[in-house]
Formats: sequence, C-alpha cells, structure tokens
Amino acid sequence: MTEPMDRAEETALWQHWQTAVVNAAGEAAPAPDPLLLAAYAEHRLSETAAEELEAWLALHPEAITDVLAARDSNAGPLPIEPPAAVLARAMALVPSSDPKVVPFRRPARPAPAWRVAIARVAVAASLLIVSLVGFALGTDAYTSVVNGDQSAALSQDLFDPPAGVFSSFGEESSS
Amino acid sequence: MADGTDLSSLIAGNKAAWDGFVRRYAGLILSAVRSLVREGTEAEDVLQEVFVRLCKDDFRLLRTYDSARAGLSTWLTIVARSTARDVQRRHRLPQSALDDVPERLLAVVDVHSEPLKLPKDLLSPRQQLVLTMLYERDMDVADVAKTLGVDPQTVRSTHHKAMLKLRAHFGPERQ
Repeated sequence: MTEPMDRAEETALWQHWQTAVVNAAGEAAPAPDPLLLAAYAEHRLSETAAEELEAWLALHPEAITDVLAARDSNAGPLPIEPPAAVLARAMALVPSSDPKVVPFRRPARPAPAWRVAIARVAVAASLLIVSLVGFALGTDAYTSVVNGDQSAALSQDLFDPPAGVFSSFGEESSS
Repeated sequence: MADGTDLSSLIAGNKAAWDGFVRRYAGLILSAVRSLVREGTEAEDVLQEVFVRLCKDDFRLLRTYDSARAGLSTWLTIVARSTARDVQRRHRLPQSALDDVPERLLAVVDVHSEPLKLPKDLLSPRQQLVLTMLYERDMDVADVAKTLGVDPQTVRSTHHKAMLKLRAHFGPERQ
C-alpha cells in the first residue's frame, strides 16, 4: 500500500514533471483555433479532440481561464454597458453603404461643337456686313466731298432751306 | 438574435447589421477582458481592437465562425481574451539588455546534469491538465470539475493516479 502524499511532496512532484515537460516540449505549439477552444468550453469536442486540446492547455495554463470565462459568458446579464462614444467608434469601422450625399448644382453641359461653330460664323458674318455697309457709306460720302458736284447745293440746303420748310414761320412773323 | 442569419448580412457589409452586432456584443467583450486589462481607456482600446480584428480583411475572422460548433458569445469571449493578451504582450516593458544585467543573476543552477527522461504518455492529457489546474492555476477541485464537466470525485481520482505515476517515475531519481 502506497504511503499517502502530503501537499508539499505533491507540489514538488508536479514541479519536477512540469520542468521535464517544458524542456521536452521544445518550441511552443501554435495556439489552437478560437472556435476549437469555444467548442471545448461548451463540451462539444470528441474525446480525442478534447484530449489533444487538454495536452496543449496543460502547457498554456492561462488559456484555462479563457475557457472558464467563455463558459461564464452565457450566464446572466452583462454587467458592463459601454459608453456611447465607444460604440460609435466601433460602428464607424464599417462605413454606410448608402451614404447621404448632398448634390451640388449640376454643371452646365458644354454646348455641342456645331452650335459653337455656327455662333462664331454668325458673329463673323455680322462684323463683315457691318464693315461693308460702313465702308460703302463712307466711300460715297468721301466721293461726294471730293468731287464737289453737290457742294453748292449742299451748302445752300444747309443755310437756305427750301421755301416750304420755314415759310409758315416767315408769314407768322410778318403778320 | 438569430446569429446565423444576421452574421450573413453583416458579412455582406450591411451597416445596420454591423451596428446591431456592436451594440449587442460590446458589453460582453468588455466583460471578457476586464480581468486582463485596466478598466477605462485600455479596456476600450482592446474593445476596439477586437472589432477591428473581426471586420478586418472583409470580415475574415468572423467568416471562420461556425454556429454548429460553438455559441457566438463563447467564441467572442475567446477571441476577446486572446486579443487582450496580444495587447498585453505588445505593451510589456522591453527586456533589459544582456550587458546591463549583473552576471550573478545570469547564473544557471544545473540541477540535472542529464536531461530528464520522460516516457511517452506517462501522464494522459487529462491528468496533465488536472495537475496544471490544481498546482499552476491554484484552482480547487470543484472548479476543476466544473471546467472539465466531470464529477469532483473524478478529479480527485485523476489527481491521485497522476501523482502515483509521477512518484513511481521520479521517486528513484529524486532520491
């Protein structure tokens, strides 16, 4: 019959074991998938899968508290209410797919090229016509002055208008 | 919340689904990490980091979740605590340079001149885990039983058998 062990001896044996295991394990195994740990926390793993995970947990005892916390997560109401600003910061991580956009005034569509060409031709034609008419009038006036044919008649018309124009004024003054 | 349905629309980029998800689970995540980080700004930063991980790369992490394997609250708790530990590791104080450490502190006491021989499967994964919980995490038998989903007497029996094996293996070496 084996002798009963006291706590000190048990602790020493365990530490001895732990040192040997850590030395033999070499590099730490990668952490298991969170879903695997969650399934273990809910006792949903097969015996084989649970054993493999427990071997890893034995070397990573901090993960045991994660499993315990995960089990407690479904129990009771949440004691912490996050501040509104914290919630808003998290919500902003996903932008709105249909943002409200304030439209600016629609910019004027540029006129078609043919309309622009017609306008320019019209302006050019107008300038040309005015130029020609002005030139013609000017030429006639110049010719008249130079030739002097109608200069006397012109001056007479200017200084001695036709009788019918102011005849009524003369009769009124004399009466 | 019918998680399967809502997660589908959330992963599709539905803004309203994401906002609802944040409102519902932010408190759970804060509760999960509060034992690992300081309350206040640090906890809120970890909360934001968790949500960033969930929606990063077109919700890559969230897409790995399978409701058939574990509950969403359980899985989120595991993810949150894993994130908190990563944040803790990043914020850890930098190690001192080797030259700055006094030589006496670097001395290694060679307890075993030869590497400990560890027979394969000396302890089963379950036995390893029980010992780790009892001695490393300082948990009591009832908590260990609850974690493993077994009877407390089963825990005591597992512990006793493991100790007998260790004593049988290490007993002659320790003497």
